[in-house]
Amino acid sequence: MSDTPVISVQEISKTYRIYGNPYGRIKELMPWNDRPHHQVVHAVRDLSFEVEQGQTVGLVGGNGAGKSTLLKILTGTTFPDSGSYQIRGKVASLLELGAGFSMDFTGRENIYMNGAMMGISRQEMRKRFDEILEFSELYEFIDAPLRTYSSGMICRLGFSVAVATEPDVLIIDEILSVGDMHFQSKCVERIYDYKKRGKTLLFCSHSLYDVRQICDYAIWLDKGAMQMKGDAVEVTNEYSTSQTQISKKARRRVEDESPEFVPTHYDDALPHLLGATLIDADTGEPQSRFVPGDRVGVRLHVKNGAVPEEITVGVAVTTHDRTIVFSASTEMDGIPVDILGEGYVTLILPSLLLLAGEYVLMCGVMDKHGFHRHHQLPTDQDLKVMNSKVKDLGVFLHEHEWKVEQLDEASFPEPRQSERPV
Amino acid sequence: MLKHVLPILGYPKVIASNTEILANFFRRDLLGRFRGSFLGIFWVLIQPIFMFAIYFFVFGYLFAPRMAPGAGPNVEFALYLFSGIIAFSSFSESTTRSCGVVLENGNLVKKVRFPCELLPIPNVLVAMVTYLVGAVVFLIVGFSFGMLEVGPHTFAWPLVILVHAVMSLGFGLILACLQVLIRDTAHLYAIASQAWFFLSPVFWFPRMLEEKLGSWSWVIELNPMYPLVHAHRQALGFTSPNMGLMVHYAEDASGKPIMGAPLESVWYHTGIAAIWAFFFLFIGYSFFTSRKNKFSDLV
Repeated sequence: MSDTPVISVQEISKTYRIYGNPYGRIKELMPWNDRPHHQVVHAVRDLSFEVEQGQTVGLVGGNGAGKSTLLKILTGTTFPDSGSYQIRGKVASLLELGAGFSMDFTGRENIYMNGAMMGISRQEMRKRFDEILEFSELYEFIDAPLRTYSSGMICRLGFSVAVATEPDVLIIDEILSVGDMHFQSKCVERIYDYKKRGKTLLFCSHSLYDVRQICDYAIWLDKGAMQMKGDAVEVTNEYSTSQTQISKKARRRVEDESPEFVPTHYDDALPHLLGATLIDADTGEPQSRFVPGDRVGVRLHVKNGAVPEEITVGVAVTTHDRTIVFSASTEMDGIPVDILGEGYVTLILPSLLLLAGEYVLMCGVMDKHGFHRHHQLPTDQDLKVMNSKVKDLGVFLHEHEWKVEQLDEASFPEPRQSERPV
Repeated sequence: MLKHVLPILGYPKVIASNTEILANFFRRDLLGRFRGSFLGIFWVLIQPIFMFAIYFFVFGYLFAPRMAPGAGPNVEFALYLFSGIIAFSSFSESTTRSCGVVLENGNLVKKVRFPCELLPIPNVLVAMVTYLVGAVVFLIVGFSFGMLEVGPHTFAWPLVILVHAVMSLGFGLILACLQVLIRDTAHLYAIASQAWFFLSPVFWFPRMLEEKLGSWSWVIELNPMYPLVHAHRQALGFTSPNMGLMVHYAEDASGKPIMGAPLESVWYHTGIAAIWAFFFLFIGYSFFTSRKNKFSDLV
């Protein structure tokens, strides 16, 4: 570990000129031209930050916030108008699926070619070839031309080559979501492994959940400017709050902070849910109607994968518009779940705080980091909360008390006896 | 001045440190062109053979210039044409391809850190392959008809090829960069290269034009391809001044056209072409590298 930051960025800015039509560019070159024929878009504005070695940094922000531009600048494919940046060590970038691949060539040829582009000789690549092949699992396809590959396979190849080149800094632009479930979980495993070895990772994602799980540090960009930087959880919370406000105004949903709903797809060889039932926590009997204060259980019937692994089980209670009211996961609470074969994991809510209404309970099985989602399932029945005695409004009953204080004396007008009509 | 000239010295270094990528690209471009076809790489050979057969028939036999009555096919003119065509078409092939090279590899330019001044090189190399195959066909036919001779000019051949490659590369860099800035370049160059073809000594020989142009004939020699096409021919052994194909126009004292003065030597032509070639390379490289940081935003 060294004290100097791996990435340091000083006040970089970048603007793009958007021309309405190709003549604008020429018109501006004319000496008699007196007005601009373009719009200036500030893709990145006065950004400064530092990334320490071993940090994993997530970039969040809406579309057009400048995340990709920033990653492109750090990759070195585009250049800032002002400001400067330094990166120590070797950089590998995955800005786009299959960038730098030739579709007419085989997977094998592309591996060597990609290596050459990252400055790794053929001999060196030959040593790493088996590792790449093993990780990408493209055994029978490796000698087929790339145009016959599916997009997921190309992504697998790209990711495998990028991590095999052992970069000091890995830059990933939102391409982790490609590939099948099995490969995604391998990628995640690899990223954690990469983190563990003290390497630096910079990535951007629309999934705040991913950012929270992987990153220790986050940067929130808005219209190219730094909105906030700091602890990943704090930043993503702030960001999601702002997003909820926007989406309320615009009456539409923007990014979702919840683990994305993966409907019924799951791999039988990987951990998955066989069922999720709402029960009365005392009797263990299935039940879906409760009143506030009840002892509620959510029983998950879990089956571990063919190769048993430590898993995370989570439950999110959401309203029908998918706002999360409450969520819990074994990873967040530090409960190890190692089940061989099948088993039950039950979440117990000792005293139901939810108020009258219907709630959807989304249950999921994830990898041990609580990052990769193997399988998700709603409970058999929605949770229906009946209002028995409680009169409060809202979705849940917060523990509360009241306190009344008088600040200055005689501020409350005393009703005068004399004025009262008789 | 030195400040502007020196950066180009970095070019060979960039090339040397990326030979593997270049080799891969070269292979991709060469093989990629024939991928999926039955005859594959053999097309490189078939093309010039057929082309020569056609030229032989049309210009050596049907429209052969100034043939003595009753004489056989004019092999000499067919060879003259063919040598010019392989030289010029190799140049125009690589430059035309270089035109779109940055845009076609937008993925590399935008998403991968890559020295894009290398992009035109594979095109030049592929064009050199087609040239060399054509040249072999030319040499076989030429020698079998006894029209070519080996001599000191033969040693100029590698030099001519080098100059040709440098010229193609330099001009290619200019076009590749222009095309990014102005997308009309490729269309314009398609027309311009046609004109250029006819302005170069491929179909005509110097004497023909000098007869018509008189004292203005020096203008045609300003064409950078003029010395290069001649140099190719001469280096390949086509030095025979028979029929006046390779001579200048000349008059005797009374103003009557005579057989004419022989063309300048292959070394002279190569030298002039080399000046042009390095001029283009210098302009092309400076232009390209001064703009390349903007490419990823413009592609």
